[in-house]
Amino acid sequence: MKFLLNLSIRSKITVIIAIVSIIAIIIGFSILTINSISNLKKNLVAQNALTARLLSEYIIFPLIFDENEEAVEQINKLEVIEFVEKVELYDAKGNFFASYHNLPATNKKFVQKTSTHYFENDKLYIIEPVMSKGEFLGTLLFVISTENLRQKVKEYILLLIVTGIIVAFFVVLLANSFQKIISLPILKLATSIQKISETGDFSIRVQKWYNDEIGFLYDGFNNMLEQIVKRDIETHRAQAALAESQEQFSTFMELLPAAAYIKNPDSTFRFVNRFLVENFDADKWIGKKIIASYMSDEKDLLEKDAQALKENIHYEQISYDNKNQLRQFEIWKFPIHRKDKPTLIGGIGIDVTQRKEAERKVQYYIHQLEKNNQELEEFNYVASHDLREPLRTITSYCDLLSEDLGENISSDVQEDINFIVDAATRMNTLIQDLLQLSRAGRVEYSKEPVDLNFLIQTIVSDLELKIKETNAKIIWSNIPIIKGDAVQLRRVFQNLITNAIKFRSDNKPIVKIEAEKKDKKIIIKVIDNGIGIKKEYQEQIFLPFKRLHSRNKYEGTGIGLAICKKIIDRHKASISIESEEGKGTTFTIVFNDDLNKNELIK
Amino acid sequence: MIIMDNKNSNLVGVLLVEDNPADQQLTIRAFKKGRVNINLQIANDGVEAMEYLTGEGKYADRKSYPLPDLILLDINMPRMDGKQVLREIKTDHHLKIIPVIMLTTSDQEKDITDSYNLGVNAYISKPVRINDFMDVVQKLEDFWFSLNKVPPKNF
Repeated sequence: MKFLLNLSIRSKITVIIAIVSIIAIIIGFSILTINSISNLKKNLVAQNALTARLLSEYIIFPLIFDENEEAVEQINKLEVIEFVEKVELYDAKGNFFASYHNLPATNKKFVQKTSTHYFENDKLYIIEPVMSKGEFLGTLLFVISTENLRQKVKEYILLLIVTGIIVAFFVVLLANSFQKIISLPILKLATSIQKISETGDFSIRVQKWYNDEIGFLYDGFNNMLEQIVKRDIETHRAQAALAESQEQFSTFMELLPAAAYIKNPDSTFRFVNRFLVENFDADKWIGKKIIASYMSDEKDLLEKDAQALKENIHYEQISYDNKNQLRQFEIWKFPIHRKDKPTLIGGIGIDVTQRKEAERKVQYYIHQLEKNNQELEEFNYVASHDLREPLRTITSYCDLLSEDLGENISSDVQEDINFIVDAATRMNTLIQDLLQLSRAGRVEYSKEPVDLNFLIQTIVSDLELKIKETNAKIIWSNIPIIKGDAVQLRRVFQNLITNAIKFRSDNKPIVKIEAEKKDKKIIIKVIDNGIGIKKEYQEQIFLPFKRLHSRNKYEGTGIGLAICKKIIDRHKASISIESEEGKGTTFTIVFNDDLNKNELIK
Repeated sequence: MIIMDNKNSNLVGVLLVEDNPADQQLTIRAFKKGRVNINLQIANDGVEAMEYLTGEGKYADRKSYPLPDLILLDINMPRMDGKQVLREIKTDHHLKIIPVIMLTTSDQEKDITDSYNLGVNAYISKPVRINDFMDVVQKLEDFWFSLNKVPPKNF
């Protein structure tokens, strides 16, 4: 059986069909044989029983009349019947009476009143009572050889065997050919599976033959392949994504110009990036807790790690690197929560040594600058007082001198005194202007809403005399509120308006102050119809001490516009000039419209 | 130290605290030109001014050195500057009622605001030209000695 099980499916089917068929043939033929034998026997019995009956009729008379020879004669007529071996006749008393060919009797006494037959020792025994008008006359015993029968049976069986073999041969042939219907698709499937398993090529598909169970198997197989391919693609994709993300992570960590590490909950290092390896030989840290190069103490570090397991922390740390250089780091630590696994500590350290150094430098410079500024302020204060006081004394005593000389003073002396006074006065103004310029750049500016309309009104009031004298006209309206330092802004507009009047042409001086809001800017223009400025000088006029005219013609130190520029710069605004010689000058100031309405209410 | 008329104790007394002799001279001349006779006392710096006001040493003699009705105070002075003198005057129970006027070269905003914060009664910037200076002194006289009522001296 085991041998059968290990056969190829093809052989298996062939063998099974063959065996089943042959068994069927054998069974069929056996039934046929048994049936035939039985029939033959029946025929033999029937034939000979009839013969016995007929003979019993013919031997009534010889028996009654005790005619032995007659009886033998009658019995010998049975010669025509083949295979009659013995025929014995016994009288009513059971005594032997006659036999076939006078053969000796096999029984001494034989009485049988009913007809019967049986086979014994390859012989058929037929017993027939001889009856006449209901009277028992004797018993007839037939012994018939079954040789013939056996012969026939032999022949028959032989025929059947031969036929059986021929049929079996054809059965095997047919089985061999029919098994293909089942085995071929299975074999094909098997071949495909083998091919797939050998080549790993899941794109192979099997061609369905029939819509039977194997057909379904094919469909199922193809479907399965399809799913495998799909899953394969998905797996590939996922793997590729994973690989890419891993690569990204490792590349990122490799190239990160900062320290990055992961610690176990017990503060031992688990991962360190290349920066740490290169700068701190951190490959030796893995699995260890405290690093000697840390300048912080162990307890503090462990406490920080414990805290980092719960929340993000940020602190600064100083460490010695592998070149024994002191480096300052800004450290961020954070918990890395994981599903069903203990939380880890993530750490990032950015080298801020240079930045800190720069910050220290900046701090130093700021301090230095503040100191310088303070010194300058002190100097300014001293200058404003101590430099000007002698000048004032000079002018005062010049005046006193000319007063003391009274009418005796010669015009030459008076002229000389006037020169001294002029020079001293000019120097006083110069010092004052310089101080103003210096202060405009240094003092703190307030940042409050300033109503320029009102501011200009006060300037015009202050300049009333000059305006009347020159018959000037100052026009302004609706200037938006801007944010700035009113005192400083007043200086700007006073300067610009004064300049506009000072540098008037022969026409009646008109100064227009216009304003407009545009793109979150407030643009204010101070337009005059004065003498204007040549193009080549326009760039220079904001520089201190830039005078374009001789002192005889126009008074002034040449600092006014420099002060204006400084104040405007400090307001983060801009000032520019447009001018055409002989036609007039326009100063344009552009403020950022950063006035917050809430602050206005405040 | 020039005392214009220290014998007459009924005159209005003015204490000029000024370290610059030129300016002392200028102020004296300006007052001389004025219409009102005053008893002008001069202190050369803040320390001397405080000695005068508290009656230390020679200033103990109030007949010769009476408490002034008005103090003219310069800011920039050696030893003790005007603002310090002002602080001492205005925190002194007896002295704080005496009007103090800053008469100084400084027109620095800080000096002005500081002075008013310390309780100065007026702040005057010294004019450059003599005529203007005379004018200022004239106006001082007019305002403080004619229009304005100074507190009575009841000590």
